[in-house]
Amino acid sequence: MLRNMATIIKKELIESIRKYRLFILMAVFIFIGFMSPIGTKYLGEIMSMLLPEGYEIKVRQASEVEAYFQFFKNISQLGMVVFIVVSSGLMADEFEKKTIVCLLTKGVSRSKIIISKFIAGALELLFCYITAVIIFRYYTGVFWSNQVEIATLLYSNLIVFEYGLLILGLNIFLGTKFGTKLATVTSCIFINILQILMSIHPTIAKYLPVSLLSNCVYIVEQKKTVSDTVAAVVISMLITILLLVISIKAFKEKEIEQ
Amino acid sequence: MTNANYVLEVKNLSKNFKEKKVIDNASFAINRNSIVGIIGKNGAGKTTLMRMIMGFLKADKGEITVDGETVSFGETSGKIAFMSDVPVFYDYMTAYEYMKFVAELKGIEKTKISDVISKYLDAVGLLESKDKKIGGFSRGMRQRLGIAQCLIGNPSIIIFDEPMSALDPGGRAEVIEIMKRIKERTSILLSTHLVSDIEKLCDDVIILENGETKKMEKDRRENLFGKSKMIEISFDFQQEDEMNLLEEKLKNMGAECKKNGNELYVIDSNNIFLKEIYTYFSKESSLHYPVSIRSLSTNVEDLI
Repeated sequence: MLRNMATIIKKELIESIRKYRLFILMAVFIFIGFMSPIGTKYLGEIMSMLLPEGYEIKVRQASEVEAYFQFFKNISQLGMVVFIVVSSGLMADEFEKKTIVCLLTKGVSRSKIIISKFIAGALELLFCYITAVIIFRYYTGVFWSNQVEIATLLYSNLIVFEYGLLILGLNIFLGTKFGTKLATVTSCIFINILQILMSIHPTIAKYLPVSLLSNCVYIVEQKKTVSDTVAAVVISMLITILLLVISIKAFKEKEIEQ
Repeated sequence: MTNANYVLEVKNLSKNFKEKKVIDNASFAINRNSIVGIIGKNGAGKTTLMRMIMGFLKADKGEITVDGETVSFGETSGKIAFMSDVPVFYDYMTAYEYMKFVAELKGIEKTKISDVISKYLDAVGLLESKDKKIGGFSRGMRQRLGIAQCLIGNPSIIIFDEPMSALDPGGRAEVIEIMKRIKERTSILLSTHLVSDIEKLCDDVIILENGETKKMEKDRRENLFGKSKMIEISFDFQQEDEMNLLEEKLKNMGAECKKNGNELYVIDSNNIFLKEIYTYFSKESSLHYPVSIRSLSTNVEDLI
């Protein structure tokens, strides 16, 4: 039965390539990987070049931590928004285009379909994210000699990746429930905005999964330790698993009329 | 208790949609290696019934078994294959890739996949198009690919929802021949609007009326097929005498006729009267041609 799941995962990855989903996601993450360190390093000089004659700007040397800040900011904003849009069709497209029948009529269980799509989406995100991190790390090595330790690099990125998995789980659930990409994207963005608004309250903020997108910077700046982030990480993982469970339930209860 | 001779059994199945009873205590069974047609007017619930058998829609009441195994809502039996009226595929795949995808899901051994795909694509006449993207297929090619993918995994029963829709007569004839061949290894349940398809293919016919299913008795079937070969002759208002003369002549020849205003209807089950009618107008009648002569619709909805 694992063969069924492997077949669906393979199909999703091929579809992602042929429909340019992976291409778009990779292009954005590569751009972030390049521009975060380069932009941080040369921002002052770029601004000086843009100033009219007679004007001078004094810019201090940017630090490696600032490059990390820029990287995580770009990932959590541009990267996540693009990922929300790109992954919104994982389930929604199958309902909109009625191709869900192609899977269901082959005797594949609905739970395996959900899990396979989640794994495929996670693999795509992992591949793009690792590429971005490798490029970023290379340039931070060139400009600042990689003073941030590997363990810090790994953990800070891992918690952001975990948030990406939560987004993926959310998109799969919303896509199954609503059956359209527009409703999926809109709802996902709304839920993220809601989290951000709720995180204004500091007591609640440390438990919200969205705090992972700022904790990653605090870890690099050494303003927070790993133990300060554990609650949000665990809650995020539990919510991701819960989203998959309720996606399977919603799918099993969904009538396929067309 | 299920009967081992039946590949599909439906018992007391009911389904409401927004307080309207679409399926009402439907019960029927399909024998192994048989082709059964299901007919009914538009909106009678044929697609709803098929989708309940597939586990796509939840029945309010009743039981469905395939090969003795109960079909539950939310899970589709691997023993059933299904083709909808408008077959949908992943258009970015080639025919070969899609068939390979289906074969892998159906658990076909890796070493045998290529042969299985070639065999079934060849059976439906798509072997030469195997490397063509499905997005570029015509409607007829998509129907044929839909049949080919149903054959993978040797299902106990294949359900076709309007398999002949939007096919030209040549395409329909090909699909009919394919279905006759596959009957040797599986059973088929198909819905169709065309009486001629039922006549050529089906061992039994189930009629879906007011949500209930009834096996169509032999004489009603024969009547249905007979009525499907009906000729309508339209006359002008001042041609009533000519109409009466023709009616008398045809009745003397043994034809069943009926008048309705300016139209004369003739049942032509054995295709003998149309020629006589044309001969009459060209050689005997003072009226060389009526307003129109036409063979009536062969759609089931018009006849049941």
